[in-house]
Amino acid sequence: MSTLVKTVKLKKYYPVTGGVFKRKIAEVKAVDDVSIAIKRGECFGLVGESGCGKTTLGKTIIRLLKPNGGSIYFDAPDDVMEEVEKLTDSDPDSERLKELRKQYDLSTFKREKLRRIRSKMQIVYQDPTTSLDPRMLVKDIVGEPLVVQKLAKGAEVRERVVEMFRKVGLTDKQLYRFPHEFSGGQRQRIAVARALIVNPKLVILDEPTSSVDVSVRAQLLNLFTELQKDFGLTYMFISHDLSVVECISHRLAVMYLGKVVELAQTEELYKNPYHPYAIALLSAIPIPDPALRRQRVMLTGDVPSPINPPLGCRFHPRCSKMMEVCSKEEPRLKDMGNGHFVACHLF
Amino acid sequence: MDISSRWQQFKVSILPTLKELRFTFSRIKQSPISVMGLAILILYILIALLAPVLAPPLPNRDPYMIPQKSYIFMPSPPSKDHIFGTTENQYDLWYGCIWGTRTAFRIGFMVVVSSLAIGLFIGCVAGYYGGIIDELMMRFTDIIFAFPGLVLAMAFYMAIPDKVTILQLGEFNWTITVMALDKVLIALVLVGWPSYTRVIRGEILRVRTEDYIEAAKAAGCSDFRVLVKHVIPNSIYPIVIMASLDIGAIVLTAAAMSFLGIGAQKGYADWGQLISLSRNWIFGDINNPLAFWHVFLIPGIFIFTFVLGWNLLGDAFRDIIDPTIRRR
Amino acid sequence: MRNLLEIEDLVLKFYTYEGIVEALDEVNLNLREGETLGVVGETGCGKSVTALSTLVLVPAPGRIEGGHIFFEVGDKRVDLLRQDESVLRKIRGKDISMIFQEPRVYLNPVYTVLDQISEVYIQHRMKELCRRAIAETDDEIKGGKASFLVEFEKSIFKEMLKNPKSPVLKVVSKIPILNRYKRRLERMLRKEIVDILGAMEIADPERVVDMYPHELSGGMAQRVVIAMALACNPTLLIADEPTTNLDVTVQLQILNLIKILKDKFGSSILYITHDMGVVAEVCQRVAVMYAGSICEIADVMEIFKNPLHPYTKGLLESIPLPGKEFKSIEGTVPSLINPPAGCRFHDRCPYAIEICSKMKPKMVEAKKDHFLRCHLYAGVLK
Repeated sequence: MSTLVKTVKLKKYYPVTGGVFKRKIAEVKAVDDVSIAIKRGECFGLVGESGCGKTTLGKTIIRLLKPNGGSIYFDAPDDVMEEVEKLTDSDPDSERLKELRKQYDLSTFKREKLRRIRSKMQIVYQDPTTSLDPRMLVKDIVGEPLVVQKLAKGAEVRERVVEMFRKVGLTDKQLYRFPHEFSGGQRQRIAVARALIVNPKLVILDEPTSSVDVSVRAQLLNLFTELQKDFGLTYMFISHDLSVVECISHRLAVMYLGKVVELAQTEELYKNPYHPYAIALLSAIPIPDPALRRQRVMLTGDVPSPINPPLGCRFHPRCSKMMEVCSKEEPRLKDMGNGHFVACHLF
Repeated sequence: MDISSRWQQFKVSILPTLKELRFTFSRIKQSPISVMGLAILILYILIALLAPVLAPPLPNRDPYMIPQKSYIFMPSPPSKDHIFGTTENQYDLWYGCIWGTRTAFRIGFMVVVSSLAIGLFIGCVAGYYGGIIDELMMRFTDIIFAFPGLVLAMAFYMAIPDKVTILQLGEFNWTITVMALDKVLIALVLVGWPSYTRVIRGEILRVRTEDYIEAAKAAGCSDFRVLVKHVIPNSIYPIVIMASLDIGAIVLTAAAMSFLGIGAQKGYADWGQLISLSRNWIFGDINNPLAFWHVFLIPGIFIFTFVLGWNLLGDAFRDIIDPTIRRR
Repeated sequence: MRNLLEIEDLVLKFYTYEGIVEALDEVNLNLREGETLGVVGETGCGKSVTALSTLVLVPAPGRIEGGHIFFEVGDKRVDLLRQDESVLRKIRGKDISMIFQEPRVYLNPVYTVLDQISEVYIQHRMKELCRRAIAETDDEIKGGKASFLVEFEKSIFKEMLKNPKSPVLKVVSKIPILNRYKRRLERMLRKEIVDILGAMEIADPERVVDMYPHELSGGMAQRVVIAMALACNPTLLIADEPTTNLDVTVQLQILNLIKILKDKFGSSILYITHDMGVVAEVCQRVAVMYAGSICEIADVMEIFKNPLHPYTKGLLESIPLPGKEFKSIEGTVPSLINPPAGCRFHDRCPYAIEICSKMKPKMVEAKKDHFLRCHLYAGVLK
């Protein structure tokens, strides 16, 4: 499968201001040096706890946030990606690389170019109550991206909205209603309709099932899988709910304090986690079966603040297998074979 | 698409807005205070509309100038000829109060709408873009807030010239005369816009970070479109409430300024003017302190109930529109 | 084993502008001494208001319109719904405590952790504190290094014990040198609270005790709330989704903590959640709730192995498992303003029969210690 999105050393820092003149006194390193590749047509899972930077990564990839460093190669053909890889290793300052970057690297896009590429990448938010404008009719909410991207006008907009509604399981009798007249699950469907109406290639699903009930969750997951098949979409499924991610994603990355610590095929990762944090995370999932008692790995302390992350490996203060090198040097992602990468000094 | 189906579509499209309005209306009906406020205002609207019928103006005369049947200095009490009596220099009180309703609405609406428009524009720019623009605007409003409102309004009044030349090309001259009442209006607008700016900026700061704004940007909306279609409709409610409470306050302030001598010219049909004319007669005769009660009490009652009506309605709006209480 | 809490036929209605919301429809629940009972259900099923009703703290426009809530206080069995506010105030915080979903919202932002836990203490355990203070002053007097001020303090503490509201105390507490007795109390309280925080597995409790709620992380804040709840050794602890907003590793820590504390303090827990995984972790018995009434109550193993009620079955089937197709319950939760007639689940139930839309089922014991409300099982046992 070819790559749809490839990030190279992506960075997103937030400044922390303080003092009388609101100068920058520190930086929140929300996403620090992340390099991942999402293949076309797959569902790429991204897990981690609060503060690890997964939402920031998702939003930075679709340029809702401006990155502080690194590149995001989007929708480039395979030969171009190979060339880019070769050039970044051998000759990073070449003119050819700059040319390719202007064409395919989202971090260089501005204004009109950026606005036009937005129709190829969309996002579905966690809370459907706040992600839909409460003062707009749902037909206008879903039709807006079409109008803004100048893809349709007048009657055609309405036709496409009706078509989209049917695909997500709503009726056209519900077109002329306000968002608050719908249930949580239905609102999330409206958000999905809004995201898909411009035929994007990439959809970021930011914890789309966290705010809905358990019974509705299954309905939404069914909808996502169906739409992925019908439209040929690529998903980035961000979640902290590991049981859901296990069922829907093909590959999975685990993030901690702004860095990717482990990356593998879903089945492989759940069966065979390498990184101590991934092991702790997976063992913490409560299993809905009282007969199964499992060996649990409990972590001590809380997740540290991303403003002053620990030196070396960011997980070392809480790691039970810490060695001396862990507090000095940051581990890099190593290929353990079979597409399974770990960033840990134990390997 | 033919006409009948277009009409059908139109009917269906306004249905949800109608439902919302019906809901708002039923909430208004449920609170006796707001019903009273609404009733008062409807009464005043009727009076204003029917002014030419209730108090017919004299022909060939500006209807806003109160007629005088004679020029006797002392006011005369209510009688068959003059239902409310007359005030100093025999200005008819009935006429003055009826046509004064129109003036009151005019003052209230024009000042509030202008202040709102200016405040909306500046508040939007300051709130949405933030940074140094925001800082500058806010310091500017701080400066205006530092002055006592009435004093500043009077200062503005003095500063506005009587005649303003807009264009002067050789022999062609385009000057407009600024009436005294207009000067009052402009002064009040200049003093009133900062409050609206503050409130709208606050709301925009709150709405700006909401998810649906970011989603609109993700769809590719320009800043302008986001502001007009998403931010403003969601932040306008506190302003609506503020405006309705403000209309009453503005009429009161204008009346106060008239009482102090700054306001419409003598003989103009304006409640504040009538109160100003009553200045010499408040303490009445030596023997009878309430001899001239009609001169200040009747215009006073008009002002009082007008402001009361707007205040009650504004309070009712606040309870109805606040989305946290709205759907309980 | 006796029942610590018995909720019988509880009816709760909310009178709103849009209609009467029939939130609780004859809820029947019982909690045995020493057990953890889980109450599972989705949003809007009424589990939170059931908890609030137990404390008789349902906010207006809610009104409890029927039923009883029997609770064992000491040796007596009282109906909480028919007690005076003064009696209830003594029970809340001392015999029944509650912990909530978002801990930082429920902590007062302008008071430190010390102040907030002290409040619970002062409210309910003042007498004990006084007795310990008296004992301490006694020791000092016997040790011989006491001035007459210490004697004075002792007499003050005795007065506090006898009559906490006496005017003498009010006067003395304002006089500078004489109110030094307060320092002793504060010192004792502080030590006590630091000990409690240590028992909550908070690292460095000396530092945490002086922090404000916004300085605490989610997990720490929840531990502080649990400390407040357990400060007075309640017999019943109600936990309303305490780990829903926490990260999964922190959730594991808190669940573990709750298990340890339950063994140590011997409280019974009413655990409300929507997560079946947590239920399997923590609870001994489970009650499943739907649209305002309890559908099924049974032992936790029984519920997972042998769910009888169609809703419970649907709920368990909709838990996503890898490789399996996602199954969900058809339809949506009905509005409680005009709830469906008969069994409230009948319009979504794949096994509904005619009687389900006409008559509400009664709670029956379908198997040993396995109760449910469903026409399919009416009168099976016996």
